[in-house]
Amino acid sequence: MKAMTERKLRENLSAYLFVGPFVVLCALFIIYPIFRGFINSLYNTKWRATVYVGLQNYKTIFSNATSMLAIKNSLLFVATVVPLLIIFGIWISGSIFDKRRLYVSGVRAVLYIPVIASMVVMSIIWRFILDSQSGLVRYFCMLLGLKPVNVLADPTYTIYLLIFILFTMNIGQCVVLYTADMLSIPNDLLEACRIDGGGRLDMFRYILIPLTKNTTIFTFITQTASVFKVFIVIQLLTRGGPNYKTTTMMYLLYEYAFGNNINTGVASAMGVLMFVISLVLITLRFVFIRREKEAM
Amino acid sequence: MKRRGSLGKRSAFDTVSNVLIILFCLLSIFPLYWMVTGSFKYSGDVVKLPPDWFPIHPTLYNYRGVFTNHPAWRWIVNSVSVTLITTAGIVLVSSAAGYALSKMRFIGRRLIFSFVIAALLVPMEVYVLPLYKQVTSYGWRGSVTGAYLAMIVPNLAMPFGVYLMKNFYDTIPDALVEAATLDGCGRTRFFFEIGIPLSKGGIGALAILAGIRIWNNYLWQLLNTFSSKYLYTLPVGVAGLFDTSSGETDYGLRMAAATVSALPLFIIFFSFQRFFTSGITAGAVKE
Repeated sequence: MKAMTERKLRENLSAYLFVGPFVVLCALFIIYPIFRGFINSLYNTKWRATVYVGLQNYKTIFSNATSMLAIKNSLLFVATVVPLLIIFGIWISGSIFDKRRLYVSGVRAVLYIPVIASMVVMSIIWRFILDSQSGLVRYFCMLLGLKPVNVLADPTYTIYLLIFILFTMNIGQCVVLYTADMLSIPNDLLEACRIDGGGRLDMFRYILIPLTKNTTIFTFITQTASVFKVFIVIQLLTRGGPNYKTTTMMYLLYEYAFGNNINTGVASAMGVLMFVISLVLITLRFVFIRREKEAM
Repeated sequence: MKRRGSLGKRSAFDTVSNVLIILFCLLSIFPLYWMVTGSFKYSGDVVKLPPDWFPIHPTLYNYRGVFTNHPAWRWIVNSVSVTLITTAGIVLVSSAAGYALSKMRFIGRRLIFSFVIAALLVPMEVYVLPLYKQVTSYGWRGSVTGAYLAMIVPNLAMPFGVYLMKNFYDTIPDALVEAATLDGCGRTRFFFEIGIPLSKGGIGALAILAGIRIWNNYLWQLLNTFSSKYLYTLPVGVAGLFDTSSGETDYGLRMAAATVSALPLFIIFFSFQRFFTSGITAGAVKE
């Protein structure tokens, strides 16, 4: 009995040696900064003096037109890009997954390439393509006999353009996930659908969409998190402009924290607001995990 | 695997879908084609409208320019060092923690694993300002060592890595560990002698995904290197070529720099494609 507890203790100790580095690093570089950000959001720095201001920074955010627009834009990106990713992810994967293997991996690779190339490189290329003087878009406008527009300086286009660019940069991830899931669907099911005379649309409706529900939930949660923090595309393409029309929460946080318009209290409050969104997603995730376990 | 199912008949809907998907693939790859071809054009040709659809007078002039007009070698050295060191650290920290969470029983195990799952959804951007102040207070600023420390150390804890490795160790049957324990092999020894060799696939997937994530960790690198252009990493340097302060105006050169920045990742992607799918899908569906 004594040997038993001693073994238990030894196992506990060596386990802590294994997880120790990770736990310490997380505490120092993830948990502590989040906590500090929350504290900082209650203070404001003016003329080098830091004073407690309570919820004033949050009031500033909610009473300022620019920051409200930033919140609206962030939500708008999530509300448009994430559903597009799910719909097109299911459609593309459901149309390719039962074709030749080479074709499947080809489409997957091509759509994943923008992810590999990175947001920075893709944003740079788009800036070249959209250049008001020498960009391809100007050329196509001329070909179609349209008046050339500076897309990046025109608020009516920039939002749609950013939605499109964010979509092309994230769709690869979704297609990889959905095809992997669809390839694991038993062949008998697909066969049965065909024998019953079901077409591709029936296959989507009765097999592919219901059986990839878990991937859809996962995609919804992770892509919401990823679209919500969008920063690079904004910084490199529009700098939040024209006239703050494309500012997002993350870009405004950056402006307040490191830009020309420094206000660390408001920047911290913005960080906390973004963290709250993460908390909502985390809750959803855990609810989903528990439901999964109960279903099993 | 050949085509699944045996029915040769294909519906019109399916055909149209696949044609549209191929067109979309072309559209999605086109920007990169435009970048690579642009990088081989002289500065006059690259901005010409109507454009040359491929470089008629191909030149390496822009690539020379990237390395002679800008400290691009330094950017490469910085990016490669930071990425390699951080990735090695992430692999060590994550496989140890993932192993313990999967194969060892200890107090606080569920709490730590719940934290891992939660932290997956909290992007660094949320706490970037306090973290920046924190590393500044450590004096990790200004010098090469300082900038490297700031770029490397806070990224060593990667919840996604722990999550991925735990899922990989979960696929090693517990019975195997039990059997080894009965033979007198402790769980710690098991990790080094059997666990690590068996999880090569997981470690490969993690190394690649972590490496790409670190290489592209633009915001954090931008904040920690802005004091000198010799500290820039490649993505920061390349993006900086669009700032007026860089003195650069040539799109050909900018595209060459972008190509240089993306090239290592493409090489890794095409050499290790199988790791990608396993890494991306690992744990997406099951918990």
